Amino acid sequence: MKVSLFDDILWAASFAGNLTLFLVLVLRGRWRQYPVFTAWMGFYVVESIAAYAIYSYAPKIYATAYWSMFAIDFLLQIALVFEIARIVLAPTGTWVRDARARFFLWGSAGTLVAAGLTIAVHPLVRHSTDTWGIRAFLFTSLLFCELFLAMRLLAQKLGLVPRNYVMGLGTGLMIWALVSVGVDTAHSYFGVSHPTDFTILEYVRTSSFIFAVFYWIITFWATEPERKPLSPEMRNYLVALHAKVQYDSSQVSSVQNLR
Amino acid sequence: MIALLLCCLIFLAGGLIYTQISAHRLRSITWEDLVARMQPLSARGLELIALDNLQPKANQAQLEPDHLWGLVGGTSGLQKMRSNADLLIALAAYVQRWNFEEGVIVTERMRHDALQLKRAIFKLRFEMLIRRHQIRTPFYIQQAASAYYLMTRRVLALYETSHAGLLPRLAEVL
Repeated sequence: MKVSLFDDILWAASFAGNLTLFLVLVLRGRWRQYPVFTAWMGFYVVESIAAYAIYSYAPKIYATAYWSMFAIDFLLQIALVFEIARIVLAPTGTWVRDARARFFLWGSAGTLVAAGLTIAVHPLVRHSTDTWGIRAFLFTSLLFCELFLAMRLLAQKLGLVPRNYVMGLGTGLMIWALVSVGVDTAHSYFGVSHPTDFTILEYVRTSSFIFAVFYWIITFWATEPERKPLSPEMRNYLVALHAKVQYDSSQVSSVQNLR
Repeated sequence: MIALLLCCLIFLAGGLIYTQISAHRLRSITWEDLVARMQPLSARGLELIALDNLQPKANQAQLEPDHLWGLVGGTSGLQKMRSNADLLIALAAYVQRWNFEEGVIVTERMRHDALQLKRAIFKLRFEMLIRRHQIRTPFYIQQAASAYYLMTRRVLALYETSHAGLLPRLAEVL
């Protein structure tokens, strides 16, 4: 496989971006709130080095290593959606009413749709392995996008206001995920019959990810505005209010049950 | 098949862009905007119905169905309660900006009330639509009014302790 200068530039930019973002997340202490996101960036740093080394010194096992790393990447992406869902939909540690059930319901429906569409596509390829490769990418892009959309629709419906980091992370992911689904849709139609177009589409996908990574570097470098701490008086008030609310609700329920 | 995939792509793009814009709007909305969107309702009428339901006294059948319907403001009153419920939740969620924990807890309780309110309104409308024997109508009106009343009390109590400066204006609107 011939590697062009532009490939090298994109690889270098991607590696530099991933490494910088990983260092920002670790050194600024963001990894405590976003462990999966940090692990995902750390994985990309290690993957870049490992892929380069394997490609240079053990090309025979490159394909196996590539698909193994693809599987880990996919699992980390799904875990990232759940990490964001936990932060947005379970801000106090427990899930907002109805949020978990609805998130899993919509997520399951999205998985079925992604699986159905993936199996139904028949790209123009010479080898069946290429078909499965394209399908694997399409499935991961679709599933990530659908889960991410389900989480954001739910947050919007429940009126949950995202904070700076979640908002920044979501914006970057949205751009990259949409470009990925677009690229994989094009691949699933054109297959690998036009290598130049295939490569250009991959450049678009990589460029969008690099853009997102540099956007995240800026977002996570800045300090998020702090919320006011909870005073002891307020805590006592809350306990009393909560008890009163429970009492009111039980009264409503008991009146309803009498009828 | 490619047409189906393209439809899916358009749906995903539309959904994500919509949620992005909506999240930005939610972050930038001001307290004054929320309060200005509250639609006027008969607070006294709703309080009468709610207290009759929540604190039952002698002569419980005093409020006749027609009287209840008038106090709640009829069909337009129900519609206003429904849209105000979402705004009340947004007002409680707004408190999270400076007092996160209590804002979250009270908002969560208000979601529960809003669910009861919307269910009661849905049942009322359904009964009116199919023109069924409307024996349950007064109960649904009381449920809706009680849930709405509880929501207004909760949001006022929350503002009383979290941001007393905004309380008079809010109390005036509610």
